[in-house]
Amino acid sequence: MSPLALVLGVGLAQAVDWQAPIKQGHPTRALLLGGAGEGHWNAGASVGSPWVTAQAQVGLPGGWTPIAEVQGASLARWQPGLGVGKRWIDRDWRLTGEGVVGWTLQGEPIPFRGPAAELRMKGGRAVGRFVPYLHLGVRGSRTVDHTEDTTGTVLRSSPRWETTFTGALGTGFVLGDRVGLDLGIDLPWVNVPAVSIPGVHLGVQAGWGRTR
Amino acid sequence: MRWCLVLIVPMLACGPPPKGVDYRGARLAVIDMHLHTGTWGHIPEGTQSFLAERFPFPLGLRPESTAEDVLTGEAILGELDDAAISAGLLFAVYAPRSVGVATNGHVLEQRKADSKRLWGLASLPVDDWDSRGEDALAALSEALDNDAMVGIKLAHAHMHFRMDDPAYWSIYEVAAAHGAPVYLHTGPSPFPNTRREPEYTDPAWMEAAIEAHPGVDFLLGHMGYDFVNHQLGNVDKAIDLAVRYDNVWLEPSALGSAGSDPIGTNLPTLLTRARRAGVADRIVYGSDGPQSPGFVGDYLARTLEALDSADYSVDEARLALSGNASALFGLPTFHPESP
Repeated sequence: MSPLALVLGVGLAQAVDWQAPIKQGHPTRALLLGGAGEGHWNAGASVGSPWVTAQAQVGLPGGWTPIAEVQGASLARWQPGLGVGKRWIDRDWRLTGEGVVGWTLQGEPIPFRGPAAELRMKGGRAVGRFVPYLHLGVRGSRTVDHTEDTTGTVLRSSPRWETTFTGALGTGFVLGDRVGLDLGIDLPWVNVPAVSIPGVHLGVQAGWGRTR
Repeated sequence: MRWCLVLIVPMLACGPPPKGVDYRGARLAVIDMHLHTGTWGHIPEGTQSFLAERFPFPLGLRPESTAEDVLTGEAILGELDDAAISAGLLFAVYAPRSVGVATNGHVLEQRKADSKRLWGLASLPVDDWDSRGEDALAALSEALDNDAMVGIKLAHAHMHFRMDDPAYWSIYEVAAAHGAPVYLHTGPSPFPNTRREPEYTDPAWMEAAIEAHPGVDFLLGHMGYDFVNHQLGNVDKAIDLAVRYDNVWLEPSALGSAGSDPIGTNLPTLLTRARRAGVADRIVYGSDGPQSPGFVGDYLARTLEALDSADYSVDEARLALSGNASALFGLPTFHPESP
């Protein structure tokens, strides 16, 4: 039996009611649908083309979740950020909102370095061990372009805004109380109206903390 | 073994489509006379940024590998295959201040990908012309001695020399000596560090040189189209030159692309004007590819639609798509393959 099959087998062998409120902080649900359970810590990472991501969040009372994250594209554009999420609906379906402020860092030949803010919604529901989800958001970034002469003296500076619509569609797969997988397609529209190519990712989510 | 066959047979069946296109019930061969090869490192920094911004995200983040993947002879052949195009011409370019450099040697090297389907247009540097012009002309002449180089490529706007400056007419004398047609970029270009004044872009400023060199065939690339404002620009002047001079040909590449003609009316309009002016038989097809994967085929599809919309006959379309290029550049006559 391969290691992956072993992991899946162990996960499937566990009979757990994943809809139960006690599972609201399950890592796959928390990161893919938003909102870590109170007292839970959750962390996840994904690799894909072109995006790689890492995110951590902690559940506070009232459905609030501070978030720290970094996203990267083609290892050439990095988007670190800090934010907060809030569970809006938490029944069979879960709908959460997140706001993140951070930075966009992109090098030559299209340099872009500046502050950014992103608002997004995460929605979906657990269906057995699967957690299909949809993310939608909008991100604004600002940079300053400098025109230099041959000696490097800045002749002119002008601000430039970049608007990006973010999106992802996929499903998580619950392996156990503390571990889940995530497979999805990324549908960001970076620097609207320029054209963007969709991406795919595979992630691992983990969580720990006290059970209510 | 059975599984291998299941996998392999469909792969064999999914090869490139047969060469040729359908037009008004006829099957026609196609030659794309305007294709660019090159290397990312020979493109100036400002133009690298300009190009990278136009790549779909995330390709612009690492544009070097993207560009290298589409600019090789092998990659261009793949684009021709996908578009069912029989042959193509690769351009040498010496425009270090704007679009960069693709040397004659590089073109010859890339052409080895298939020397029965690819040929080249040679070019030369014109910077420091007073002191280095003689050497540049000698190198151009040497390049044209190679049968693989079937013409000359110039771009006054990119190379920063005036169309009416007789100091450079020695280039046309080399062309005449070799029987080499001269392809000229005309019309304002959006690339950084290009000259946009009429003396560098308006085909009317070529008239003196055209008149003085009746033995040289001049191809007015882009037909004077204004790529900066996405307007017809000096298209009528290009057509007028073709009407008045038998040695003038018209090449409507790039201007009908989704990016350069967002509404999609400019290419049919100028083809209609050329037909009404009586020079429908002077059109030579080119795409200005490869630009991005799929562009070569997409531009051919758009051109076929525009030819039909402009009411070109099958014979006129045959000349435009391959007949004129074969005759002008001394290429073999290509025949379409049955589907």
